[in-house]
Amino acid sequence: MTNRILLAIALGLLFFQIAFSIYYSSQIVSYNQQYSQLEKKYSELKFENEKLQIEYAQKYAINRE
Amino acid sequence: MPKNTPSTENKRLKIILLTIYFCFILVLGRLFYWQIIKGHELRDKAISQIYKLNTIIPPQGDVLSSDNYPLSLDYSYYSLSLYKPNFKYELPKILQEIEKVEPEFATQNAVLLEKFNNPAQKWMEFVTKFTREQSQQLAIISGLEFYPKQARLYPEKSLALNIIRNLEQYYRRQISGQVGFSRSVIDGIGNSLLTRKNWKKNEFDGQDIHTTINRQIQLLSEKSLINGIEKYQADSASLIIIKPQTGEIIAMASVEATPSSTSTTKVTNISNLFEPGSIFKPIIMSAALDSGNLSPNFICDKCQNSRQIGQYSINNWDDNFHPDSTLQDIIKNSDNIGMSYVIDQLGLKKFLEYYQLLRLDQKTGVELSGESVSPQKTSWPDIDFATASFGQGIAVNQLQMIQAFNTIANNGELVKVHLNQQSPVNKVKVFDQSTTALMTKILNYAVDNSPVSVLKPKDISICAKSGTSQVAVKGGYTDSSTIGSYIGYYPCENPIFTMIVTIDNPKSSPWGSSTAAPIWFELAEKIEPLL
Repeated sequence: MTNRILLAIALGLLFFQIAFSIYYSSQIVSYNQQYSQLEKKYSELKFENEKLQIEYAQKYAINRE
Repeated sequence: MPKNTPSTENKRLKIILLTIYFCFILVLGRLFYWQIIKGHELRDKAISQIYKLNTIIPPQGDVLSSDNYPLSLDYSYYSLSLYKPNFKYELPKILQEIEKVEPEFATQNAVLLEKFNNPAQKWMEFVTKFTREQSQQLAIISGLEFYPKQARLYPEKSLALNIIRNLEQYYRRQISGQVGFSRSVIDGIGNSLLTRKNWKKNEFDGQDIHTTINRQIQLLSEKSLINGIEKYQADSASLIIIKPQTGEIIAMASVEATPSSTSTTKVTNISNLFEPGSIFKPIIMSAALDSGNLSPNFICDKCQNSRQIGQYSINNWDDNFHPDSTLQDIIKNSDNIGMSYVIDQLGLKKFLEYYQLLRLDQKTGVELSGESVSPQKTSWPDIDFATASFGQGIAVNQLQMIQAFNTIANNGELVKVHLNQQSPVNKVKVFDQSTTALMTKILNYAVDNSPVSVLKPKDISICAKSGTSQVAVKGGYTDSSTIGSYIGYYPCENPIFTMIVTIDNPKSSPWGSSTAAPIWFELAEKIEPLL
């Protein structure tokens, strides 16, 4: 009887560990994907901002050589 | 079959044992080699495969005009490198693809492409600047590598370009900011992973420099100087306009008929020294009046003849004499003889005191590099002291001159000239208000009653003085070239600007009153509504 209980606990722990790993690794992967996307978006916006600044400067320049 | 004797068996066992020992030592040695000797190298390699070190280049600051328009700003571009071993197509086909996106590529890189045709040349970077979109379009071609780079853009092209570049040099650290670094754990394809092992040293963005330059006035100034050079057939011309109460430099320009300087950051308004000539007279007269040594009712009773000092003779610019001149007449007629008696009243000690107070002996400290200042004179023979009264034998830069003269416009307070809006306004009282009020009257009278008044726009009060100085060459003066100047403020009461115009070697007329003054008046009329 004791052996069965111990085996059940061991199996329970094993399944818990597997479930825990799967859940959190999927969380980590999704956070990492989100991070990469935000990083990409940030660099896109940075370029867009720079482009707009240049467009503004060229539009309102007064020295027409 | 003979049986092995125990001694033979022992021998064999010993050999096997020795072989095992030897192998063991060999393994130990190898382990020692990889773990101890090569350990660091392997660790570095392992770290480089797991971690990625990034340099974070911060955005650089802009240089802004007084209306917050960017006179210079940062922009990103991509430079292209070609690497032959990675080519999947022949070079002409690759060039054809590049030219579909950037048609000027072959023309811009003709010399480099010729070198790249050499089979020994495997890799080369080209000069063409690609946009982000262009680089993304071309990056799919094997053998093409794009690197992001930063450069400065000057949207107003040549407008105040030397000043902006000089400012960028002066404020290099503030504009550049501080580079940051980050170390992150990467996955198999090189993407960063979020983990506590990541580390970052923050970058600091470059700061913007808010200048006092009014770009509209700067543009008008540069155009006026270009026209002036052409009209008066001069070698060069320069001007500075400042706000009298704050010392803010609104415009500073210099133009050469045939640009000789190769330096793109040289600002001749501060690097070139010149003898100010008669535009120095109001300063000397103000100092003499302020010291209390010169009476406002002074009458020159010796002005009917030239003045002899040792072997030298002091004469007037037009060789005329003006007996019994008042202070107003001395300034109006630009009387050298009269001024030599005025400076006598001031005295050498007081003259040197005021010279120092007006900061004519030191750099203005404007936020530009390359300012020149004349070495201090150690001895003042009588003739040098007398000629200093009409701005001869002393040398100043244009900015020093306007800073000192502006003291008269600003009720006797000397304000430090500056280009950065964030610089503190630094004031020192030099002249009493009564002195500057009298000097203002004298200058106004001089403008209204001298031949130059015909050039002046009607119904406006201008307080100004013209000057013509000879060019010092090898201890003497050359007759063939002069520097014409005009300095003044507008209007006489509560002035909105002080301006100096200098024209170098005008061939149409040597006089400042007929070359620099018309430029001054014309520009004054144009910029008045803009202030």
